[in-house]
Amino acid sequence: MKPNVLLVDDNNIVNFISRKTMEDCDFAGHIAEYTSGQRALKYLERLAKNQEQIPDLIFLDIKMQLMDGFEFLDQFKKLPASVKEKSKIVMLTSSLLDNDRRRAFEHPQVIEFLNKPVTKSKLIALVEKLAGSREQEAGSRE
Amino acid sequence: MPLKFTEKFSTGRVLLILYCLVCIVVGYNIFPIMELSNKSISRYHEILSTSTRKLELMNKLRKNVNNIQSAQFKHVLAYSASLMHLEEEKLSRALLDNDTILSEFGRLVETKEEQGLLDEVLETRKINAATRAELIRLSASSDRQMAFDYYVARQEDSRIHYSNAVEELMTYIVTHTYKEINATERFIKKERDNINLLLSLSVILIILTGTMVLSANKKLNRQNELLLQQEKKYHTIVETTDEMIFLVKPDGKIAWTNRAFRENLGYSNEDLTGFRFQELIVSNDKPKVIPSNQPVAGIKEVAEMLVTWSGEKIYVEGKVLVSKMGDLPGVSQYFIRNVTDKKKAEELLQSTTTQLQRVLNIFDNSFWGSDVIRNKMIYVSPGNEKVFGYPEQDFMEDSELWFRISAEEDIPKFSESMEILRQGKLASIVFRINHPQKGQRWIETKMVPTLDENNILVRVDGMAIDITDRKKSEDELVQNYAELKKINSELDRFVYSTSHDLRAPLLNLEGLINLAEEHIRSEAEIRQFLAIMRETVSGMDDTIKDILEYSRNARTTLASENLNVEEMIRSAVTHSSHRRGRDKIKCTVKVSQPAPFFSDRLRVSAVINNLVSNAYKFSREDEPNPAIGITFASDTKEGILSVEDNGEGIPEEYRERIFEMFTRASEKSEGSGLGLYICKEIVQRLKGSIEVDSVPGRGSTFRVRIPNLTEKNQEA
Repeated sequence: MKPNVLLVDDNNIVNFISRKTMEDCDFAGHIAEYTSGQRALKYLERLAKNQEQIPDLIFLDIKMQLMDGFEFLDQFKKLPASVKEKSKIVMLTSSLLDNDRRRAFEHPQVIEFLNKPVTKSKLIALVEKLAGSREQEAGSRE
Repeated sequence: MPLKFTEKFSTGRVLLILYCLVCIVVGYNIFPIMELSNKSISRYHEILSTSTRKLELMNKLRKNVNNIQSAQFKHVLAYSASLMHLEEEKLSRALLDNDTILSEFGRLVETKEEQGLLDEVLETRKINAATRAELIRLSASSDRQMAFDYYVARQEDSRIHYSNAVEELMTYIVTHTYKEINATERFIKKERDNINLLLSLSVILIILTGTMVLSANKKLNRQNELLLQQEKKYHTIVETTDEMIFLVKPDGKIAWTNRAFRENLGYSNEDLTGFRFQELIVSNDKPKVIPSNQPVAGIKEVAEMLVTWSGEKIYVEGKVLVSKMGDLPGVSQYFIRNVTDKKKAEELLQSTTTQLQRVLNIFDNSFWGSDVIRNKMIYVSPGNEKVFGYPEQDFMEDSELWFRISAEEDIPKFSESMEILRQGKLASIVFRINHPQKGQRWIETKMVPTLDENNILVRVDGMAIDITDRKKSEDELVQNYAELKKINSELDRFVYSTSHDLRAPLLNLEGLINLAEEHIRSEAEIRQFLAIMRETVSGMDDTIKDILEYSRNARTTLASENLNVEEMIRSAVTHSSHRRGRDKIKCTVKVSQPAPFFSDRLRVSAVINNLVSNAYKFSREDEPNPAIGITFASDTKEGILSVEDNGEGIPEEYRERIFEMFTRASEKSEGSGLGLYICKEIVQRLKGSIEVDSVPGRGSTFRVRIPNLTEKNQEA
């Protein structure tokens, strides 16, 4: 079952590249993209009662205008449980700072920290990681 | 003797004078009285003897008259001539006797009344003599009967008259004498009473004065005793004191000296007697306070250098008391101390101070010392005037001057430093003063305390330096440091942001290249990728240009030239409106520039370009009539640029942040995030201001004020 994906980056060129790459390797089911964190949150809120369409993976940029990635993560906690439980977050950023990486992993929903641009190999690794984590869910919780 | 006690008005003397006065008064009165009394007594005797003699004479006269009577009668009765003759002889003898008596009595008559009575007696005697002569003639004529009858008729009658006159005179003498004696006795009695009164008075006075003299004498004795005691005490003091006391006679010779004087000078009393004081004084070029040979009455200060018996020199100081004898100078009493040690210490201190002074004078810093107990300055170096603007003397005379010229808010620092000094620790304070010439100056003072044996702060020495220049550079340093810190943090953010902003387009390019490589793409797809690549590269170029713009504003100096603002606005509009999809945005430009507007061309142009570019960038696609309004109005003071759009607007919470570095207040923003930051930096540099009004979803208005740098406003 291919995951539903939500792309959040204020630069639509990034979103374009991510979508194209995912399409090339048939990574995702439904792909939604937003250049504003606020509008992405509103979109998630709208989907809360629609379990099917809630994205499985959210690709989130850190350095965005108006609302950056961390602010998005703070707001994400306030979303209904249905969204919080289903959606896993992958940070997709140009940041090379360990500090940003550490901050991101403080949020339990964040499962991966990727550097731009998205590539086929990065997506394959992600799929493998997702499969592994599902098998040892209890262990990884710790 | 060193002292003489003279009393002009002692009690004894007064009493003596009083006593003499009483004696004179009494004597003056008693002698005339006594004299009068003596006179009265002799008069008494005189009256008595005269009266006695008078009465004797009268008695004799009366006896003779009786004899004459009997003789006459016998003559009448005689029968013989011889008998008659015998009787006639007796008669004439008695008559002769009476003549003598009456003439003597006449000499003794005292009063007119007596004289009258005597005259009466003499008159009746004459009549009596006449009748007697007739009788004798009749008797002789032998007509005896007729003689007898005549005798009976006449002689008896005249005889009685005569006897009566004599009796009356005698009665008068007796009564008169009695009266006289009585009067004299009364007078004498009265005088005696007076004398008695005076005498008793004198006695009382004598007793009184005597008592007073006695008591005065007693008192005098007591005083004398006390004086003697005092003199004894005085002598003890004079002889034991370390003060040199001696007397100098008006001729300059030493009359008397005390022990201290002799010991200090090493002379014996005999050596000094007759010695001239002047000879002990070491001649010195300095003029004497008191030339010893010309003393003036009163108390004067003396300071001399004396030579001792062994030739040593000693310094003395003290007072001289010069008494005056009339107009001539009297004895001079000297009270002086040996101050040689003090003087030597002073000289040493003086020379040390002079050396120190010479060193201190070299510095512009102020050195000072203050007596904490007396709240007085001990010394203030000349450098003080340079530091504080007041001459040293002002500080010496007015210990509060420090506080008055110090800034009020710094005064508490003084008391704080005093607390530290009281603990015996060094203190240092920095405070501001109001320098009379240089205005506000910063002063640093370092202070060293001196504590006495009881750990009480007695003295503070210090040094004051004007640190205004240092402070200024320090302040500048602090300011520079703050600026550097700001720049540094900006640089950090800059690096962070550029690493992102410059990497982001590169990573996009990498992604696009990946896409192109990993799949076989259609030509249309490739063209799409290339277009996106071009956009990415151009955005990156804009970012780099912005960075350069920012750097240029920060580094280059201000220029000033007459600007055609309208032209600059139109050029910016043309540049921005050429972009894709912007042709339907309507732009109106209104410029009112009546006077030349001077400013920095590149900077003003950067502001205009940024604001116009933003207005185009943030237009709303859903707005049917997108519009931009640009106005500029200037006068000689300033120019006001206003750029208004009906685009997205800026949410309230971002309005403050839009002027910060790398802030993009819109998801649409593709720029570097430096545009408005650069605008703000430039406007600040031009000493102008920038503000924004915005309603999200309705549009924004940016307003910029830029000072007109007309020739006279221009920076040098």
